[in-house]
Amino acid sequence: MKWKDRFQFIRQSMKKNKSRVFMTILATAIGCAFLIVLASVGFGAQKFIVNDIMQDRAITEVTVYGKQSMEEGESPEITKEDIETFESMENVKAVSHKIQLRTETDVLYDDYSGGSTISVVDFLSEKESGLNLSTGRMPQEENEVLIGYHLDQLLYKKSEEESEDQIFNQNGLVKEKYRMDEGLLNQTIEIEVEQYKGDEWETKTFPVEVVGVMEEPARDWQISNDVYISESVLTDIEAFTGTAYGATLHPDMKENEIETLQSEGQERVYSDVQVIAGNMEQVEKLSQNLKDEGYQIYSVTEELDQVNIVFAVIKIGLVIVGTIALLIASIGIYNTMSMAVTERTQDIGIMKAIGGHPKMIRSIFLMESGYIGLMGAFVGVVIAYLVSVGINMLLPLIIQQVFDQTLEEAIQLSYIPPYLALICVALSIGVAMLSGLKPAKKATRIDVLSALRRDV
Amino acid sequence: MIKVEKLSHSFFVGKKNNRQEVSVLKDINLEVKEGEIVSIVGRSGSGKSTLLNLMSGYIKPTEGDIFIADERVTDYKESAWAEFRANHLGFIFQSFQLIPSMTAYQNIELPLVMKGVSEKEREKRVNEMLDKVGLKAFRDHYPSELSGGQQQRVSVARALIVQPPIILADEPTGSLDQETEKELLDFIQKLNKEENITFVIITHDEEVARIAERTIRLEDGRLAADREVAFR
Repeated sequence: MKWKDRFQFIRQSMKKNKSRVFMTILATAIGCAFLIVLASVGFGAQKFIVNDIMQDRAITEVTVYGKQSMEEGESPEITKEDIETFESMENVKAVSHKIQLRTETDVLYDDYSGGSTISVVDFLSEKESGLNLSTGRMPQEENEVLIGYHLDQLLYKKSEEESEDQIFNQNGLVKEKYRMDEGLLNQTIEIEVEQYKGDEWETKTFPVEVVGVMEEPARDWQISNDVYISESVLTDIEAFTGTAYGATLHPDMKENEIETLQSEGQERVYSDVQVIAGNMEQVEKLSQNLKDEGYQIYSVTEELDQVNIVFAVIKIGLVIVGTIALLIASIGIYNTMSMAVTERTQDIGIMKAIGGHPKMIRSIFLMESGYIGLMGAFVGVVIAYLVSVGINMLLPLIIQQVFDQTLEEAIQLSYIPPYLALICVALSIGVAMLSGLKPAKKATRIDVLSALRRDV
Repeated sequence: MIKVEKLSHSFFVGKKNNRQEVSVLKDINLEVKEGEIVSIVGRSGSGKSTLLNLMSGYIKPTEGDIFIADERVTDYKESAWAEFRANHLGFIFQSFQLIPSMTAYQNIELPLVMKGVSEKEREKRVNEMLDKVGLKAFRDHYPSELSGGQQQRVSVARALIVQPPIILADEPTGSLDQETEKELLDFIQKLNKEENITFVIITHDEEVARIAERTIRLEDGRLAADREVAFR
């Protein structure tokens, strides 16, 4: 019997008892929709968290903390040699590396001043690594610098008698009325460095020109008070402090400590080293290569892997719960198919009597139950998508009503990836066919003579 | 065409401790030649339907052998019988055995559908067959909308549609009036002459046997007589 004829045959059979078939399809559809919606919450939550993780960090970034395995006498810190090694590695697009100033510094502009974090960067590497500016340009001259997005909002006049609590707002920025009137772009600022020399504290300022302002950090709560300087400015600072990286000396320091601070720095060591891969697919390989080379690293993909494992477990749990709903629907399918076999006993007997093959008869009933599963899954997927859209539309309204908060960005609580719908369709057809297995077997075992005598 | 050797069939009745064997057919030997019309007659309970059921593969013999179209079918499994029936045998039943939810056309078409014949070929053959049995005007009628004679003609058409060399008929005129019975018997005779189809007809009606070339009589499960009819 051709497949087309089998299909036509089952459609004709199903038409005989439309309401029963409809109810069975409905039960399967509800089971399917329940499964998909339940799992979609897991997918939605995962998507939300993954997006959150990736929000402020480039997915292609691999952070290197230091060397894990060292030969004797080797420092665990990252040196120029290591940076060169990274740059020569396969799949590496750029290497971002910074040297942090080891002293507390203030930035001065006119009467305004405020604390800042000074780092020495290689501007070319930073540009390649994806450093973006909100205004201005990348530095070209030695005394040109980049500043953090919030730096001008952190400077205030020290002479005012207000306490810090009065000057700063709840976000940690200087209140509007205490701020400068103009931005720092294209202005000359001074970096103030203090050092204990002889028996007293000496202060020196280093004028630099602001040529660019960095992009606003991705997170609301992050405040960027950075100043990115060139290595030549660092050399000037070091010349003043007499220590490596401008380290501050204290009156209570022992001599050997002072000597160490003064003598190190022959070979630069870098902090905040990020190796940038060409694309996301290369991150894993690059991470492995770096680990193999003995470096301690961290990449977002590693964190994502862990998050994905946790969510895989959650999703499996949700799918199992959803599958129970589908199994309940399968009882309905079993019942419908058993009834169909009983009702069609005579027809099956006639078919067998005139040469109907048991395999063909079994396949007809299996197809019928599979068809119910397919229809149920199809309707279920449509229902699930509608419910999912409904949930995502209603959630912000509920949050607004209950918590009296407006969401800045849309939270997608329910997310149905296409493959989830496909898995559910396959699961539904599978479960339906399993339910139809016994009735189909029963159909093939119908005794021809009993069926023809109509005494079954 | 059909050869039956030392065929016996019995079954058990009663509970485990008190089982009794009931013998329905005992040591039957007969042969049906190609193109013959053979009638098997006998009173109720003589074993004639059992003999036909054995030849159809609906039940298995206790002893003996059955050969049909040079094939030993005695030990055929269900699936092998299904294939054999589809290719070699046509069936006509007393109560027509039409599928009530199918039209006359669909009932006749069913064996071809099960054999996987193309839709175009099916349409051609079924229309020809409807014409042959005089039911062209009733092609879309359901069995419940047809008379007994018309239903039996649909049944005959269904048996003939796969062009089997053998047709097994179990009381084919049992549900028909005299006039319709005569029509059917004439049609069977015509088919036998024109298409050389072998017929084995079970009947308790001696009148039906008038079209047969041979009449086999069964009595209490034994072959009581096997005689050729000189004039038909």
